[in-house]
Amino acid sequence: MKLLVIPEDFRNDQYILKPLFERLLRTMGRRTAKVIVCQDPLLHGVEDAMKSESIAKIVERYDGMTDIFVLCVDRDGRHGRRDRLNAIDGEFGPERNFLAENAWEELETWALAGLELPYD
Amino acid sequence: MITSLRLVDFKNFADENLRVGPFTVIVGTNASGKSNVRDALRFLHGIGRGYALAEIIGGKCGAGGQVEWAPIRGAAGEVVRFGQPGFFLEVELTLNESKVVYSIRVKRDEGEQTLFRVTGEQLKFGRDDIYSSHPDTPEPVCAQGDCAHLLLRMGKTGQQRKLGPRVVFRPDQPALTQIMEHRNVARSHKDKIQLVINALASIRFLDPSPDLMRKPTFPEQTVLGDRGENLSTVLQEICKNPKRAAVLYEWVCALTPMDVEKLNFPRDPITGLVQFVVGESNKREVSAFSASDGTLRFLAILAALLGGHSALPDKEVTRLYVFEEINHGIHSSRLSLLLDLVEGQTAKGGLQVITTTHSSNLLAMIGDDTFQNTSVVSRLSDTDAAVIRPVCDLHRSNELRQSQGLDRLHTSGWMEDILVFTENDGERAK
Repeated sequence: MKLLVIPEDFRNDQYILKPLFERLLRTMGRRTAKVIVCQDPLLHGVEDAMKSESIAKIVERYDGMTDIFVLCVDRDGRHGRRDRLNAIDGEFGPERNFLAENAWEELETWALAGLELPYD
Repeated sequence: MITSLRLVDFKNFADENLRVGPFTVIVGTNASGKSNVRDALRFLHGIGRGYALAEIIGGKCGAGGQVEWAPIRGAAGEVVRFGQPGFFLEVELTLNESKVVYSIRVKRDEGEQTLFRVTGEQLKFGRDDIYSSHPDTPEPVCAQGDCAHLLLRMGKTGQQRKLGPRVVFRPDQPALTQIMEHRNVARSHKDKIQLVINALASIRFLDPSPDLMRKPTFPEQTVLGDRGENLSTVLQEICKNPKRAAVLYEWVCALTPMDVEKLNFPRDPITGLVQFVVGESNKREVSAFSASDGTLRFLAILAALLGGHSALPDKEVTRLYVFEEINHGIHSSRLSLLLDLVEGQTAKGGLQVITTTHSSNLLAMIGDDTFQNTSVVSRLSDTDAAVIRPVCDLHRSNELRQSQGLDRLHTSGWMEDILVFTENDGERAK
């Protein structure tokens, strides 16, 4: 399985997303799955990441060899973000496996979720 | 001209092939193995210079004690891929319109006297086998009796019925350059072997250093050094021909804001050394001391491509220049000029250029022919091996180059991503 993760800014997010998805897929029995975090340097911030034209270019580059596209952005406390992500799902999803998800409220919480925090 | 290079267990390559054209561009992230391709070409060049294996890999001092040849980068043992007994290189060339294939197998030696020895070597010239250590037909040569000798079967010549003579060579030096001294080898074979030696000896590795290029040089030194030494006198030689001088001035004017009217070559009255001075149409003169690093590097490339090759052993052989980062020091807005120069000169024939680059701007502007000879080197995750793939063979690369530009594909890491998705890491690791 080949999975492309599209973060809103790869510079820090890649260090959370790559190990997280690799572990997730391993847990699902997909030991040979390959995970790539899209490192398009022109994708800066959530607004850019949710532009159809930005995503379209990435999808064009990786289409035909990627099994699943996953767009991951921060929710940032915005109530309407899910609606926008649903629209992106609807735009790119029908022809390929495209998932758009937002982290509550920041991507970093996904990393914290996997940690055993001290009780005190 | 060299058309391909195969590297087996050489440095970090398991078994890879580089397609080589008139102008070949190699891209890849840091530490991917781009410079290892250069090292392989240096190894072949060392063979062409007649060196023994120890000298090619470990360096050579001349009779006067001067360093004549720098060692191959890295520790001696690292020339072989980790855990492997030896390496194999195969180069394909076109010489006199014939396809020529030369290959050499080198084994790491456990002996006290030597670190490496040649265990296999073969030269094919068109349909003719010139020599082989392991001919296709079963015969005693293939057994290679001991470690102290390399046995070769020469190809048959006109007067021989089946096989050419069996000849014995030292394994510490490629047979290619030992054969020329051997009495039992036909003249016709020696002529062809000499062509191959000349082709390998003609490879040049340019890494121009601005400081060295600014230095005044001794008159009549017309060979451009690998670091750009003798630039002034090489330019002086080019300018002796008015047509070539005009071409040179035109390129310098296009690259710089200078309105070059003439290059002057005053000789220092005390030292007798020559240094070029740029004469502009407004009568202002700019000495080599004041020329910018980028201008000097461009001048060195110009000098190499327009001239400066009088030391080559055979003027008929295609010159091959190998650069690391040919675009280094040249402003992005002037990269199209550099490409015009290199693509234009190499398209004329008689000249090849191989360069590595990290410049997306350069890639954005390369022509269709160069695109066919652009390769990406990438080290795959979870292995110690790197792969070399022509970018034009990557999934939909032609189409994406048109729609998004090669620069975008390069900057986004797309080439490496595609290799991660398409190459079988597990198989290669074995």
